[in-house]
Amino acid sequence: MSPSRREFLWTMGAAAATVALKGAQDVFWESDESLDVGWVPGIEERRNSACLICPSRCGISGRLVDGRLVRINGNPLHPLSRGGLCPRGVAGVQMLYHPERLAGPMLRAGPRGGGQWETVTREHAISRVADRLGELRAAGRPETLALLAGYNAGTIQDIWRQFLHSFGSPNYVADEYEDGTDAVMALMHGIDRRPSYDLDRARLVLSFGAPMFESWWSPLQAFVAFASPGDEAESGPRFVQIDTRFSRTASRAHEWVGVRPGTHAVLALGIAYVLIRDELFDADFVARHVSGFEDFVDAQGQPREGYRSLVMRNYRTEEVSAITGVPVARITSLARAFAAVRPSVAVCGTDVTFAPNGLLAGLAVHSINVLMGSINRPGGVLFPEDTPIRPLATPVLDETARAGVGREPIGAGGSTFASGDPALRFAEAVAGAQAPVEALLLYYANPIASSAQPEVWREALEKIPFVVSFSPFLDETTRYADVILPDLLPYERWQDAPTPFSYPYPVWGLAQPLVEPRQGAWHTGDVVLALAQSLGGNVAESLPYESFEGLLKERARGLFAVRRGMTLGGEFERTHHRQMEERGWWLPEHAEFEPFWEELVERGGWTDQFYDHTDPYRLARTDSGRIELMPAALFNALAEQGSALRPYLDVATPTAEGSREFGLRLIPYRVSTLASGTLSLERWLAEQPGIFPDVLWHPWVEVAPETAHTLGFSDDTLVWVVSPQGRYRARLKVFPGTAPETVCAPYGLRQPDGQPANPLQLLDGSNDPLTGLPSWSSTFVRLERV
Amino acid sequence: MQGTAAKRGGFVRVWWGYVGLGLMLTAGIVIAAVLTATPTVPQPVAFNHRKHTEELGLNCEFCHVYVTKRAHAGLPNAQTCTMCHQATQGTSAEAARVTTLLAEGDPLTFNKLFRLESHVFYTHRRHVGIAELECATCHGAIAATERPPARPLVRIDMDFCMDCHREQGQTLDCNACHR
Amino acid sequence: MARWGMVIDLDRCTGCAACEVACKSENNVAAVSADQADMGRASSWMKVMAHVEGEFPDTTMHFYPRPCMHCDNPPCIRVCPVQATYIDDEGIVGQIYARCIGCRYCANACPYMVKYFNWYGPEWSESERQHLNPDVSVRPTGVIEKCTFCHHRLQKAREDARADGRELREEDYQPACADVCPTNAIAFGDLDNPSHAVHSLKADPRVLRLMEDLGTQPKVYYLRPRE
Repeated sequence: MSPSRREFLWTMGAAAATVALKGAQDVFWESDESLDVGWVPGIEERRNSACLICPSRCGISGRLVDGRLVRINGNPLHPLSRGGLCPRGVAGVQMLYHPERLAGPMLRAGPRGGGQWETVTREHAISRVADRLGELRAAGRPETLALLAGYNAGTIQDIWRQFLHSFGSPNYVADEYEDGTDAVMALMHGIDRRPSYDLDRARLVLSFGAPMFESWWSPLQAFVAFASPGDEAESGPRFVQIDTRFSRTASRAHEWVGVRPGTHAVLALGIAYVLIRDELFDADFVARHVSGFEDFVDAQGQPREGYRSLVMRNYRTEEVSAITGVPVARITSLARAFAAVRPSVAVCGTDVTFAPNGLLAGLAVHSINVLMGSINRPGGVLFPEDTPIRPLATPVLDETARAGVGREPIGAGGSTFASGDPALRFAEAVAGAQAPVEALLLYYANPIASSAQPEVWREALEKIPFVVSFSPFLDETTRYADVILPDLLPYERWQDAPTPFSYPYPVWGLAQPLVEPRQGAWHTGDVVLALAQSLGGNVAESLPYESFEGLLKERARGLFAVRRGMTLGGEFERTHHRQMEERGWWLPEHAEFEPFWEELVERGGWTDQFYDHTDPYRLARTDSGRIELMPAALFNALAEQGSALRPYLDVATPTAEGSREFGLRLIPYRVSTLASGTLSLERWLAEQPGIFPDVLWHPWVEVAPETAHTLGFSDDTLVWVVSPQGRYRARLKVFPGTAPETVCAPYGLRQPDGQPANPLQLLDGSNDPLTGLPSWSSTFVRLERV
Repeated sequence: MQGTAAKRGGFVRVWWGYVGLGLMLTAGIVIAAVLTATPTVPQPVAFNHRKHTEELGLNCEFCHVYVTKRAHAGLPNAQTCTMCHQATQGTSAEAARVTTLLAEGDPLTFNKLFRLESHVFYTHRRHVGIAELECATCHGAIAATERPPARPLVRIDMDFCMDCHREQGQTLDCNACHR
Repeated sequence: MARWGMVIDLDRCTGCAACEVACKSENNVAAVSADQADMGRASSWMKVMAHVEGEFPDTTMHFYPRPCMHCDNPPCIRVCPVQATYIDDEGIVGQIYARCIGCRYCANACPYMVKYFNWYGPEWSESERQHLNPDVSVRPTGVIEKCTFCHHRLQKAREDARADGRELREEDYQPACADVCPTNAIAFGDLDNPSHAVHSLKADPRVLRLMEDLGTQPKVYYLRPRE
């Protein structure tokens, strides 16, 4: 049967259409023309460096294709991170190639904060800054220069300090992560530094509110210890998390002990009670190295109760159980495990120290390490040596500088034993016009977004006539700047990357440029050196270095000369070196410095995996040579302040009840490791902010199901979190891991439009008078439907 | 009468029908041609492959340096050309122009003639370095051309790849080439 | 013939999501805006899911990193009208973007919800294009995409091994998620090869597969947390 005409026409039409569509499909697969970069050789390279995003300073290995940084992987040679990485480290490529990165140096064109900028050359920008600073010196007011610095470590901090010192300013203002443990160590051991924890070798880690898997000094250090092929099946839990909040750390630790807010230290002393009562503590260690355990007579001739009496009288397990909410049997079993599974160590976190009695609570938590003798022993609390890099040139001071540095730092003297929040005190002093500041330099600090009191900062910035920012991005505080000299991003710059205090062996990681630096940006280290040169005189003499890279190389000569340690190497090499050094051996691998330096750069740094456990100087440096459970300095300070607080007695946050108006306790926490001021920029991280798979981009708060029910809210309700101090918008998540009547609020998030959502701005402002650290868990809020 | 008229009317309608059909077909073909046409590839100089290969005896790898080692074979750049063309070679006007361009610092950016879609996982290393295929297998008589071809000499599409893979007993798995 | 599979130890996973971000970086998965994310249009080939049980204070929470299960009996391939998704000889469930017509049948058929539809083309700014991985194509509008076990890495590893004249080793081919995991919770390898870690791990008594009762026979195994 022949086809009808209509059929024939349809067929032909369809054929024509098919031809056309096939063509269209090909075009469709040309996809995005702009992605076609034409011919590229596709030359691949892997280069080791260090991650500079958080204090952990893990080793990274960049995968480069034709000079573009395509992936950031872990560096398996790095002894802390051992090839692992956290999501922030991986997302670094999105920071490097962020579309909002500043193109180059800029001067403010319109009014302050008006958003009008004039693009200038580097030389112009730097001479503007140098001229201004020169005027301050010439006028004899060098102390009116201040630097606000976020977390930074190593050589960059050293040259900033040297620059300010030789310039004549005492105002290095740190705006960084603090946990108050340095004050605890200074009082008990006479060693003024944060403790290191030998997590690798500890068989039981009792974490008192330390967010070890989230925002601790180094989550990677905790991850590596957590993942080490242990015998957890036989030896029971290795990580025990004592936490108010059912945090990610708590959920993944081998055991979680939920305590009432602010009672961590009471539980620690309850454990101490069992250790003493059942004679499980290391009596020999206490007898030989510890003072203040037994009753004693103080310098004024007053008889005082010792640690043993205080604990035995006040921390019977029943009482501790009533305060903390932890059952008696659990307290006993924790104490028995802490004594039986050796080595064991107690880690003190910010949930303990960010409280009105934070310092005393920190002492109480650390005291159980002392009781068990977990100090300076494998698997315990260690005090490692500093990395033996070559020191900077001796600073040269002229008359002006000497007069300037002799003055009181602005905002100093807030508290006795720690610096607390020096940045906020600085801002208050400036805003209150108590101290004139004529020039402020901002280095990785963005207090308007990160501070608990951005209003104070706004006022302070208005009173400062000249503000310079080194931020690569136009963040909230940089918008108030007069001059912006954008720094190079990590992956573009040379920087040394020492591991944080929590890691017990010196590691001098080295970040090297993986990609060609962006035109217009300039390494802030080189800017500091250039500023010193253009200021001339003693400032130039104090920093006689050509370039930051050259300075790092110069400092590495110290590592070459020290006759110990090694450039980074694998597990076998590390163990080999450690065992050799334990036997007093060390063999040089390089006769000359140059090949040593090349290998150091190639492998990503230097480390010394040897720790001298027999060195008594690492146990206590107090006058008595003993670890002081009852530090005289503490009693003196308390007496001076007229404080009624008693060590080992007032260790809990005073119980407060919410008012009718504000009935929910606010518990802020950091979502992942955040150095101050650098809030999330990368879109991949905005899509993965926390533990709720369905919360992308938006800040949230967690409440218990019954609390949500009482308030009449359901999951995903948009709420205002309101305290007497302020409010912010967040999504409500119903989470069965939250304690009733509390609101857990992540810190470090932004609204999708970039506005910070900062729970710290709601805090009641109370703090520990001994350390100045803020109290994070004593504020009450209410939730309102938006 | 009426019948004829009707018949003629029918004829007219049929005639218009064929015109319409013709127009549709033409339109289809034109659209298809426009959409599928490979754009011509311009080159900075009129490179003579035959001169370099058959007459001077250079092998392909001399200029396409990555052909056995990487995904892309590589195209020569000014540096490669300078090796010989720093001084004028031969008598042709084009050779003289090359020398001038090089002296002026022109980067001599050659353009890729044979292109694959971005979703194809293909490496020269695998085909030339490991399997030792002849360049002509995929690129035809490119080595014998005397001026840069405006379009690829061989249309490399999926059928072309699959035919050869079948002949050679190589993988026909989608994942092996689609990425 | 290898049979690629993955074993994820839930006791070791801390839910840090490094795998998730590493996957996005390796496979050019673009982030969408907040509005689009609210509509459920964000893609995450590897997604860390949290499983919470109990009431405070007797709460437990586990994290399940969830890639494509690469089922031996994948429901998605049965419904694909154009054979754009299929299972290859080595057990990797492929998604051939050039064939995909965007009907989304497979996304609906997948019980694990690991197939993501491109509602629009990826939005990479000029500078962000710099970090795109040249080994993985950038998917256009209207196609489904999913975890591929980073099979481009297999292609490259195999080529490297062949060029060096040696056999493919276990460590040569590891997907980005297994590579980056700081607690080594993710093991990857040939399930049939006794020298690969996954071979013995999949015989662990703690082993568990998601929705096994559907008969999908996933090649991603989980090691159930110890009590």
